[in-house]
Amino acid sequence: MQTITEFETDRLVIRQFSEADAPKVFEMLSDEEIARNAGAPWPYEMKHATGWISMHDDLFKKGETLPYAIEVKDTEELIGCVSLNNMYTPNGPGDLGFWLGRNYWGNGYATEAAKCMIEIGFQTLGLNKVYTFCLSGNVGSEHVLKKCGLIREGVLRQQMPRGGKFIDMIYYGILREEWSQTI
Amino acid sequence: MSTLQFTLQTDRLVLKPCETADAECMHELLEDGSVADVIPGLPHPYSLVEIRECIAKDIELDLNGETSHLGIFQKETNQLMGLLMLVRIVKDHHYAEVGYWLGSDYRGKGYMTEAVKAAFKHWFDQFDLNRIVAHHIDGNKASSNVMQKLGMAKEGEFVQHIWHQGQYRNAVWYGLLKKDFYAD
Repeated sequence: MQTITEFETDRLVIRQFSEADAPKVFEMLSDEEIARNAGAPWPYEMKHATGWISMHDDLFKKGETLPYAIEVKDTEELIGCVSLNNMYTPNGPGDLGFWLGRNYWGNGYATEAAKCMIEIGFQTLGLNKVYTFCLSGNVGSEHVLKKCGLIREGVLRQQMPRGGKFIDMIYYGILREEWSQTI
Repeated sequence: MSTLQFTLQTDRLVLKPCETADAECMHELLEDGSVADVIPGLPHPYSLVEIRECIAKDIELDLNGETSHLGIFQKETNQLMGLLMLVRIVKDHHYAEVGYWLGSDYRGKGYMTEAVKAAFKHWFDQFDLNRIVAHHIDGNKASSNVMQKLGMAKEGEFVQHIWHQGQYRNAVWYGLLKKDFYAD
């Protein structure tokens, strides 16, 4: 499948990762909360970053999982990742994922990147739905999803073990027809 | 002794892993397409050869501990009536998903509720699960009845989540926590 590999928003460039990004990815995911929420291995090692990035060309060829780097236009600094995942069934929905290095939280970057990814999903990939799961209590992520227009559709109770307890996962989704009314 | 040789018994049923020799019977059960109509991803038509291959593959996955498939047999007649399966077993998360179907001649008699209840007792322990989930496409009343009778709680209806037979369908999602299952 053909996928455009670079997009721009007001403040960000959404592009494919390259080998040179590995040290910064390693640095940002050497934060247990971020690594775990991103579904990355823990403890996170440099080899995880290089191994993960080395898979990306194949992932983009296959088209089921599309991880993009988030870069700040002005500083050309890599600040995180935004992705659409689990697109393995024909006409199935795309699973939105994103994480930012801790230094970059609170600037609206995640919302800006996620909005761009949702637009890629609907406009470039022709998806009918974008959805994601958010850990209950992850206020930052939930806020991003709401600002992107995703709607809460259900709660998977005790879905995720974390710190000796099982935490609920909240399902958020947006349909193409709902999204098209917001633009 | 392989782990596949165990059987579970209820009042009216025997639950045990299928063998490739059950393929013909399974083929008959699936032939009218009524199961494929409500279970996205199940092929139809589904040839005897494909079914035999699928049973062999399931046996292998079961032996690896990745899934658990149980044929639902009528105790009195030893007739295979349907299939019950635990899939997407995520050991670290103590979580798995159940799926099931019955041939059209055997529906509406409470067999499935009886079968799943017995299997849950076994699976919660065998796989050290905290939670079992199930989902059906919107409108599958028979399946939602089974989930409700088992004490599963509806956790959401995920709009247009599934593409099935040329249409977007809602995924109706149910979950059961171990503590609630044993509280009953």
